[in-house]
Amino acid sequence: MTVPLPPSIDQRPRGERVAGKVAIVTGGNAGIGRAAAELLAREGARVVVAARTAETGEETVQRIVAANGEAIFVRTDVGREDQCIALVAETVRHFGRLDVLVNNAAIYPRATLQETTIALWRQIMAINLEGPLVLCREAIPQMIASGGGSIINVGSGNAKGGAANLTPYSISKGGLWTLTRNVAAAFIGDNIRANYLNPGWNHTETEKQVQALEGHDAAWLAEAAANLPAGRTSDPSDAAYAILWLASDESSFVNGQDISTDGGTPGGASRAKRAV
Amino acid sequence: MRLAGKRALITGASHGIGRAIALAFAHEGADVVLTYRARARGAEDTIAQIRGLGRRAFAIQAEMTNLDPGVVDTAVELLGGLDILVNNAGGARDGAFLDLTLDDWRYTLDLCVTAPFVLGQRAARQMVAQGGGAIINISSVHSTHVWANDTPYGVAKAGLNRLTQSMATELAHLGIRTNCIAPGYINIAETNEEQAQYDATDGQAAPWIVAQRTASPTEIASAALFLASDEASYINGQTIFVDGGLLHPAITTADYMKGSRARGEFSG
Repeated sequence: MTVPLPPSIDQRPRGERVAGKVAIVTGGNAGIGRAAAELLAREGARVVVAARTAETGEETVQRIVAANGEAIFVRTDVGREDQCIALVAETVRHFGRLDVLVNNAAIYPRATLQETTIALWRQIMAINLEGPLVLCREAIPQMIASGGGSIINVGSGNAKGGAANLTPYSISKGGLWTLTRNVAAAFIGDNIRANYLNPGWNHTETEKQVQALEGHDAAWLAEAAANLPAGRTSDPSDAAYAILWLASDESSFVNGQDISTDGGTPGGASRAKRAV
Repeated sequence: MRLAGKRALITGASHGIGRAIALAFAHEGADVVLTYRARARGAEDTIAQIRGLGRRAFAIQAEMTNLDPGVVDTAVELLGGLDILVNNAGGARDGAFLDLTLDDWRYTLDLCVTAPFVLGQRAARQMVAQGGGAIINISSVHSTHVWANDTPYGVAKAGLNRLTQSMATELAHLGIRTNCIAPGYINIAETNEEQAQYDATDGQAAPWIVAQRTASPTEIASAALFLASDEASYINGQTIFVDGGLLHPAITTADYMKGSRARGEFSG
């Protein structure tokens, strides 16, 4: 048996679990980011979709608006400090407050240690680690002004397990985990929570493109998914529901935690029959 | 309604965390069987509240250290099936390592890890027949953080985290998810006497907790609600800490860690 998908976000009636909150979702133009943006909006949040690609980012906004939600798109390269600063400023200018930051945008080029040039390292660190750092720095004063906030950093199981062909990516996600713990400990007196989410192995469109480059076709992916303990890979909606919970006041005592929506791979990613 | 039509068995739900979980589940549409050991009034009050919400509710008196899987069978008969099991009942006979007796050890391990195994196995067999379900074990920060004088409890709760992983691994393909919640310090006091006891013991931890406060049982219940619901359909084998960030790292060698709990018995 394959573990079933969570309830459909598209068909979900409107709710109020994050009503009144304003949320930034980076990388909100695709995959986990789009699912999280749409689910947060369905549950009453006003959402700022941040992404490098305007076309797909605007598409997320249109989908939210079509479902009677509220959202704006702010074109952002999170690898650029000035654009991160502008993102938070534009959010507060438009919506008047900031309550939730979902640091989801990331890149994951394959590279072993031997293949890791400093140019690649800096590119990955700029997007996967410096962006979240700057956004936390800029967002937290605004969250404090709004009475508190919740930061969700989308990380990876590779932060702890490592992966031979994802060396710089894995290290960036390890740094993100440490950033999470630091923020969690440093700002609790200001009612700021920070948590980390390992979303498991998602067959997003981007991931399929990367796998195709490695010669892994649809049949290979299907077999790899079937060999996972849950019988399927992660769906973006799996992570989105965890993000919703972490963004909401329901998780008010959850802080500095590492939560996985990976269908159960207790021995770590290496337990799955995933070729590396 | 996030648990509409679901049928849940929650152990140790006459007060505290268990009661909060039972009420949260019922608010979201679940029918509930709860177990209690000694607090009949708390159990009666809880099922009355649940029935007031228009849900079915039943209370079973059960001593978990009897390791009787029949508790699950009774719940299945009362509810016509079982979709959710919460192994919440817990407690300990803790004390200094040099003074512990084998009875202390057995009592605590029976209560905190063997009973969840026995009930979990019986419940999982029922869930297999139905096509799926969710099991939630209530662990503790003692499962990973060591305090002095907590040996049986800490070992039992570490075992419960690991039991969760084994069940998650073996039952995933059968449609059953198994997860664990590790609460930190919770104020479950309902009477003046309980409040005084809490103030004298766990309540003193608040200044050292990163959150600067202890938790309310409802904050554990909201995690259980999420894990029990289909929203968490891909979360399996996890132990989620609901501990307010627990203790400031700098105080892990403070006097508090050397003996937070005097020797004695407590029920969680």
